[in-house]
Amino acid sequence: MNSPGLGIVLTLSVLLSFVLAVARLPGEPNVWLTYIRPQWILLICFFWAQQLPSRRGLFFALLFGAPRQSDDQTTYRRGIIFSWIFGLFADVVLNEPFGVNGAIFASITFFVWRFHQRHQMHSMVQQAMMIFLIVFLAEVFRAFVMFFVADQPWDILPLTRAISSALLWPILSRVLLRLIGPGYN
Amino acid sequence: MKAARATLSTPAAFIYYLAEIPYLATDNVQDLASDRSLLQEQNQQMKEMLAIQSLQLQRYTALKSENNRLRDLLGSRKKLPGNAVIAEIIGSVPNPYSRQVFIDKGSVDGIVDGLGVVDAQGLFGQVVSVGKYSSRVLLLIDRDHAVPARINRTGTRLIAGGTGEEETLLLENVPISTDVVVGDLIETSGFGGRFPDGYPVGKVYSVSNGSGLTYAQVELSPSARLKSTGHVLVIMPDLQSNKAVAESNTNVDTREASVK
Repeated sequence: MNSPGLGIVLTLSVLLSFVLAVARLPGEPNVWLTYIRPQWILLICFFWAQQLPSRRGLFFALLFGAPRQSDDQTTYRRGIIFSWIFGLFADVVLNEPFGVNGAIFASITFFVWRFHQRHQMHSMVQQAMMIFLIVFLAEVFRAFVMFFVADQPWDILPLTRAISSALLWPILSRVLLRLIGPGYN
Repeated sequence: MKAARATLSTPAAFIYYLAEIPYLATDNVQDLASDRSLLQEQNQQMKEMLAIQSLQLQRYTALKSENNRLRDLLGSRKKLPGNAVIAEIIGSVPNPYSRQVFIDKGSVDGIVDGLGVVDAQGLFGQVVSVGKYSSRVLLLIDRDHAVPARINRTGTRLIAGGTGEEETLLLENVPISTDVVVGDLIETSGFGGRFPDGYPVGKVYSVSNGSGLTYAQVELSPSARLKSTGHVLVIMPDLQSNKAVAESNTNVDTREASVK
């Protein structure tokens, strides 16, 4: 399915996820709201890796539209490389060392594609638990890198962000599924 | 790598603009809704302030050119800094440990890496990354930031480092015997050549130099209003100092002429 509606939802959701990821919260920069800010970009990345049938990745679909399923090994690898490149932009936006978000996005894309069939059987609660685990691991990796590169202290941040992301997931995925229409995928 | 970051930072700045839209919109609505008498009152206050400050500026311009002439006579190469570029803060980096903001001026406005940034109250930070239409500024309270400073009262040279906390800077490696008391003004010393000297950094609010300590612990609160969003000044380097001095001289002459 290569409808223009899907392209619009895809582009807008990615743009909105970036805006929500950097949006300034009212008040001081260090309010508790910062701690429970969901990882919007990760969630959107996860959602589209799950929904787009072609194994070409989010970035490819953003540029050229979403083509039909093709399962050969080359596009599969290319899709993972594309999601790594997509992460470079997230690195610049979030001001993190080059490759951090790329590694996270590529791992998530691989993970989703590897367990695609199994994942579709899961209930919303199971999916939310999966999201908790993925976001937690990704944030621990991020904190690990920032600890070495920028000397940032360890904190409760990965845990709180994983919880808020998991709680957000059912709502987000339902809204997006509604937007892209029934019978897709 | 740096070039790639600079290229990608243009669309990144666009995202920060988008995220700032709600705040800009509320400001606009407030402007529209504010009534006439309030505006007149504000206008009056600003006029008074402008009168006072232009008086001070007249004195300053004369003093600056005189100072530069005297420095010329002494053969000193050091010149007072040149002009500044006004920039607006368009967002902050969404990381609770990193104190950085984005401003809306970039390489097209002549911004380069390492320029000092001040606001109306004092030293704000320095430019660490430049895109085409935006740049990133490291605040002086960031954990990675330190600025060569001196005590205004005694002239003792020190280093003021950021702690990552909003209200606190720390003077590093201060000997116990140093003459520093609560209320002392700390200003930039101009050492290292990154910041011009004489800009206020902060005021000392706590000194503990007990006998058990190796160094005195001196904490100061930054002068600049780091929490507020608004306008900051990027201090541009004065490359053609002699030309600038000549220009300021002519400016002073013309003003004197117009006063007469």
